[in-house]
Amino acid sequence: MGIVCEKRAAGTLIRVSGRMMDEVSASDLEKVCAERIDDGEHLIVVDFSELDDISPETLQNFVAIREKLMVAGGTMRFCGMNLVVEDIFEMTGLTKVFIILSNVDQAFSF
Amino acid sequence: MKIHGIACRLASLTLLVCTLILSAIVWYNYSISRSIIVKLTEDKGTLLANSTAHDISGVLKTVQKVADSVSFSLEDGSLSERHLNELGRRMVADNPEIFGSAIAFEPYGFKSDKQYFAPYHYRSQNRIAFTHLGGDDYQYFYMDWYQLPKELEQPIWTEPYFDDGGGHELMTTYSVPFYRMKDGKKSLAGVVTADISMTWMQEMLSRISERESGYVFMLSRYGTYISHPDADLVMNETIFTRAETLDRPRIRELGRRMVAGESGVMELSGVPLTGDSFIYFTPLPDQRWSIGVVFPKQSMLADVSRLNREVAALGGIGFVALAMLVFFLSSRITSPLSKLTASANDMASGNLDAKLPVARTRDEVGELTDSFQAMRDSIKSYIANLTETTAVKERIESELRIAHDIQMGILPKLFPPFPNRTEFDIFASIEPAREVGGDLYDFFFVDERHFCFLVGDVSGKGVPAAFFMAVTKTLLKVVAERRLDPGEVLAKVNNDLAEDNESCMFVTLFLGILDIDTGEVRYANAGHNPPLLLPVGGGAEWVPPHNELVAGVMEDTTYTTKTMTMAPGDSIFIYTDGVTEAMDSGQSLYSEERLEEVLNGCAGMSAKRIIQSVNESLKTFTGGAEQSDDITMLVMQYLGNHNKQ
Repeated sequence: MGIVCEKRAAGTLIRVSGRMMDEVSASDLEKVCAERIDDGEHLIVVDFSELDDISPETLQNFVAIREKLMVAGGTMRFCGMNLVVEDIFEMTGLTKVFIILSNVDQAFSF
Repeated sequence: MKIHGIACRLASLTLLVCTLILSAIVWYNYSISRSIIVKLTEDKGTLLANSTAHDISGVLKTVQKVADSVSFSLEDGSLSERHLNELGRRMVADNPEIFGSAIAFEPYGFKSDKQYFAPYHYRSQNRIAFTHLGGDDYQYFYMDWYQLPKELEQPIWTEPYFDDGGGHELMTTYSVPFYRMKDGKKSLAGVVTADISMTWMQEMLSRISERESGYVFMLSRYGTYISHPDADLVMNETIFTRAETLDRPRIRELGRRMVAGESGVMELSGVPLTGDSFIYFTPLPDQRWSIGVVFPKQSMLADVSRLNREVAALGGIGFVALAMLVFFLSSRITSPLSKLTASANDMASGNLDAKLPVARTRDEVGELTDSFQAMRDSIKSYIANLTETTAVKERIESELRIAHDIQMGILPKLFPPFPNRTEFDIFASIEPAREVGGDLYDFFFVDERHFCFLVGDVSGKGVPAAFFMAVTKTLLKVVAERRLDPGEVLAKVNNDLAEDNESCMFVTLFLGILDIDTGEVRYANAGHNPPLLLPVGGGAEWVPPHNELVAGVMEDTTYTTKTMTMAPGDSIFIYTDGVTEAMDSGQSLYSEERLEEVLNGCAGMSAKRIIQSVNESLKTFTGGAEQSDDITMLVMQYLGNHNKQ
C-alpha cells in the first residue's frame, strides 16, 4: 500500500493506493496522521481513488484517527471511494460516522 | 604431517619445481660441457691426425730426397762396384729411417755377363748387412718396386709388401729410376730403392698415440691396414673386409672417405677396442695413404660425466637441505593452523568453550586465531541472547496456547448442543489465523421458546482482538438473556463497548433470535457481512444488509430489528469475512460468488454437512496458502416444532 501526504492550505491531503490489507500499512497510516494532528492539523482529507480494497484493521485505524482528530477539534473527510471500498463502508455503517464526498475538491470545500 | 595438508602440498610443489630446475641445470650443464669437450677433442684429434701425417710425411720426404740424390749420383756410369756398395751402405747407415736400400741394375746393365746385379744393404741385428738380390727364385725385374718406376719413368712408393728377397721384413719401398747415356741416348740403367720398415712405422705411430687414450691406424691406398694396434689386421685385412666382418656400414663409409683422400671426423658406435668413438682422418698425399686417429668417447666424456655426477650430487644435497627447510618452515606455519582446525572442529561439534591456541605471531594465522576468538565470543553471546529470547518466546507461546484453549473454551463446542431439541439443528466452526483471534459465535436459549444465535468479528487480530472478543461475548450473553429485541441487545452492547474504547476497536455482529415454535427469526446486524438463507428446495439468498454501524465505535447508536420466517428445513449461514476474503497463493479472494455457488449445492444438507462443504471448498481454493484471517461459520437449520404440530 502507498501513502502520500500532501499539505494544502485548507488541510492535509493523504492519498492512499493499492490494497490496505496488512497491519503494517494500517499502522503507518495512523503514524502519518498522528504526526499531522500533533502539528495542529484540523482537516485531514483521505483520497481513496487509487485504493482497491480495505481491511477491518484499516477501518479501525481510521476510527482511531477520527477520534484523535475530534478531540483536537478537527475533521476528517473521505473522497474518491470505489465501489468495493464504498460497499465496505456502507455495510459496516461507517458512512454514518465519516463524511464521504465524491472528490478532493469537494472534500476541501465542504 | 597430513598428506593433503598445506605444508605437504607446498613442500611437494616447491620440491617438484626445484627438481625440474635442477634437472634442467644438470642437463644443460652436461650438454654444454659435452659439446665443449667434443669440440676440443675434435680439434685435438684433427691436430693429432695432421701432425702425425706431417711427421710421417717428413720422414718419408727425407727418405725420398736421399733416394733421389743417390739416383742422381748413379747417372755417372764410371762408378765402380766398390763405389756402388759404399753408396748403398752409407745410404742405410746415414739414415736411420731407411731399413734397406738396393741399387738394382737392368739385366746385364752393370756387367754384360751378369744378369742380376743388385747390391742390397739392410739392417739386421743392429748392423748393416749386405747381400746381392737376384736369382732364378728372385727375379727382381718383375717386382713392383722395380717394374713400376721403370714403366712409369718416375719415382714411386710401393704398396707395403713382405720382402723375401733380402730384408725379410714387411716394408714399403721408394723406388727411383736412374738413367745413363748409352749410344748417345738416355736410357734406364736401373732403380735405386729406399725401404721403410713397416714395423718401424708402426712403432713410430705407437709412440705418437701412446700418450692418448685412443690409437692411430693407417690405411694403404686400397684400404689395407698398414698399421693398426691389432697386428693380425696389418696386411691381412682391408677396412672394407673389416666392415663386412663386423657388419658395420659406417666403417665402410669411413673407409671410402679415407681411401678417397678426404680428411674429417666421424662418430662411430661400437668400434672394436674402444667402443663408441670419434675417428679423425687425414690423407698422406704422396703415398695416397690415410691416417686415422681413434678417440673413445668414454674417456673423452669421462670428465664431463664426472662433472655432471658432481653437479647432480651437489644438487641432490641441496635438494635434501631445501626439502628439510621447506618442511620445517611449512610445518611451523601450518602447525598453529592444525591446532586451530582442531579447536574449530571441537567448536563445530558444540563445545564453544574449546581451548583456542594462543596467537603467537602477528601473521595471517595469528589474525585468524583472533578472528576465531572474536567469532566464538559473538556466537556465545548470540546463543545466550537466543536462549533468552527463545525462552521468552516459548513462554509467550505457551501463554498463547493457554489463551487459545481458554478462548475456544468459552465458545460452545459440543455438537449437537441440545440433543433433546428437534426443532433446529445448529453447527459452528472457528479457525483462528493465529493462536487467538477476534471472531466469535454463540448460541443459547433466552427462554424456553427463544433461541439466540450470533456471529461476530472484531477488527484486528491476535491478543487485542481476543480480549475484545471475550468482552463482547460476555456482554452479549448477559444482555441477550434479558429477553430484549436483537436491535436493543446490540444497542446496549454497543454502548458498553464504545464507552472508554481507547483502542477504537470495533466488532461486527449478526444476532438472531429464533422462535422455535413458529420459525420466526428476529435479527439485527451491526455492520456484519450479510448471511445467506438456504430455503428448502431453492437457491441461496442473501439476507439484505442493514448498513448499520459496527459496534463499539459510537455510543447511542440504534440498531433495527428485522424479522423473517424460516420454513422447516430452511438454513441460515452466518460467517465472518475470513471466508470470503480467504486468499489463494495468487492473492485472489474466495469471494461471495464462490460461497453462494457452494451453498447453492447444499440445500437439504445438515448444518454440519453444509459447513464441511464450505470448508472443503475453501481448502481446495487456498491450496495450503497461509490463512490470513480468522474463519468462522455458523449454520442454524430450522426443523420445525414437531411437538406443537
